[in-house]
Amino acid sequence: MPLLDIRNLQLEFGTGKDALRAVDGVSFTIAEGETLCLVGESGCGKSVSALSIARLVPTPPARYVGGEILLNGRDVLKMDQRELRSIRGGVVSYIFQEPSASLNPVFRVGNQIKESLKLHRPQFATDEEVIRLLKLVGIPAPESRIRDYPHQMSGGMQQRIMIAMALASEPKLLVADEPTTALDVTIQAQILELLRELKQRLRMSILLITHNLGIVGDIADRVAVMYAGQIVELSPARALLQRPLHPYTQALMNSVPQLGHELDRLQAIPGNVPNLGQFPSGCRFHPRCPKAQSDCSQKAPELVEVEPGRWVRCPYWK
Amino acid sequence: MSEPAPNLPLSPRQLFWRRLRARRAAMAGGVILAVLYLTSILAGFVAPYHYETDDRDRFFHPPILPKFDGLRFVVPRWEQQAGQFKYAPVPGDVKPLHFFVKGDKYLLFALIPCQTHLFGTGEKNYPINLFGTDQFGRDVFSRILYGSQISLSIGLIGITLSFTFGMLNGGISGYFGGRIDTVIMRVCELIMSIPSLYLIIALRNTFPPNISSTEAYAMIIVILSFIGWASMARVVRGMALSLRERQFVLAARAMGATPWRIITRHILPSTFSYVIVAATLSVPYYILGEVVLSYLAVGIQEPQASWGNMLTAAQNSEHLRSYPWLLAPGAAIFVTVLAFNFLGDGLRDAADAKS
Repeated sequence: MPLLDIRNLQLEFGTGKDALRAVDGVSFTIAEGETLCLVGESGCGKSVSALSIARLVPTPPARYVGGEILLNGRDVLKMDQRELRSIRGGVVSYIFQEPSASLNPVFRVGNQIKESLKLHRPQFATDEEVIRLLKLVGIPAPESRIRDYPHQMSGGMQQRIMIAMALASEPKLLVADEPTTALDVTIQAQILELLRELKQRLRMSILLITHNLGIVGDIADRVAVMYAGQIVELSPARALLQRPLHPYTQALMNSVPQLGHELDRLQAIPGNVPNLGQFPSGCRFHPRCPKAQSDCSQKAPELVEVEPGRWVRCPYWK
Repeated sequence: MSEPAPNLPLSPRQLFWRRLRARRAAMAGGVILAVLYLTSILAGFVAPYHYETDDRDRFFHPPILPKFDGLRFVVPRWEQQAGQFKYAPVPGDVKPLHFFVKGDKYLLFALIPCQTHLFGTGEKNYPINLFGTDQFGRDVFSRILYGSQISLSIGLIGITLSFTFGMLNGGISGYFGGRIDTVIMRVCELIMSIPSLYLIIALRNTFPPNISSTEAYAMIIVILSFIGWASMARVVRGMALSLRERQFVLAARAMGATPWRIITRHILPSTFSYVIVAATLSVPYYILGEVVLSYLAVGIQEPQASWGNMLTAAQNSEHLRSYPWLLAPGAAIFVTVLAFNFLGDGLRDAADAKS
């Protein structure tokens, strides 16, 4: 049994005729110790899918229309508040894009980490444990740093604090929602390195959300590419990077500039991500797709396993 | 890390203090309040007489001020003019003013039986009434000090009660939103839509008419807090509405924190800088509320002294013209309210990061 098994998740914002379907039939699994990357442009439903794992999307305005989110075999969508609170942090922890906004500015960082300990491992809510966690995430001089306020730290340090908070409750799954987007490139690399190291040491699973394909090769075991609320390609990371199958994935890869290649212009994908509620008929990518056929606007393609472990939502992937 | 570098930028708290100290009016207000609260705590010791001590031979006595005769302070003896309702000092008949004299019995801090007073003559025929006496010959100055124990503490306790209640309701209202928000906010508006004086008096009438001063004290606090929480709740609710969208609230939810914990640990502390200023500026409202009720003789009862019921004696315009010192408690109210406003304004400006 995989640690996380999302089946045909459907989520809408609003009700009735004006309902906008932000997540439409997303399914994926994460095994214990596995790292899955969720890749896609802004607004394609990555973050909402990830927040759904602990049912953190506020309802209303959101509404779960269908599907299951099985975490350790229990459906998150059917849990009561009490059970939800015990899995939040207890089984799945989150780190977010902007560490400075995720830390409460009026409390010392040591106390914020202790807060996480109090909720899930109250017997360990001590300075020693906080210092151990800070050492684990590579904060120098942790004994004095626990008395710092968030504004006294750099962005990279703050993200390390966030990671320490997330790890304090000893989760099985760490969901990192664009953890490096707000950081410098050098700090990005350090944080990714830290995540990879922690994953090996603590044997946790990671769900990493990013719009940066460059990160994928560094850390992911498998990759799910999302477009307009659907997964369009799901594949082992190495295979996907070597030979992307879906035209959207190919276009994404082409838009990443390569070292050593002279380029005048970046290869952008023509057009924009369609707005929620204005998805084109048939395949949602067809207006922007270089390989579109005449029937792409008629028939909505299914996600099909075309090779062992490789799923593609495009009949013309060859 | 342990030794701060000499040129380290100032912390927000240091900046706040620096800005507050630069405001003279605020500092003056703060010092005045400190003195008022100190004398209020030590009222029994600073006051030369007990609030109940009366002298039937010396009612409506004008203020008696000590004079400096080159060596020491002396207090003259005053005598009633024969056949007239007037007092005049007897020339040459003086007694020295002493410090730490024995006098009326009182309880220091409401606990320690004590007889020592800060100043006095120690002799019954040489009284010292700095602000004169009232219609029963009681020392107005002493009664103002005893009254300050009630008037000043009502402000602080009332604010604490109503702001705690207001912050919790505002936090709950803003964090949950929806129906809970609607209910709490409509209750607030209901309370705020009734003119507060009528509401105070109407609520007063829900209590029995003749109640002891202790009961009246608790009743006044309850009434004023019941009215006062609404405005606080509305503002805190607005702040909570914006704070709940902050990422650290999402992070706390993702950590498994309960709504109660999120409201009390993450949302309300961020409203403190506003709340402290608002509280300082609202204390006068509670002091004046007690004054109104006691002035209308439905609050603190005689012989207990409060600034409000002392002013009742100054209702009569005839008395006011002949014995203007009866207005002394009014001056005390004026100074206190002004000091709170100056301090509150200064706190607000100092807490405003833009200045």
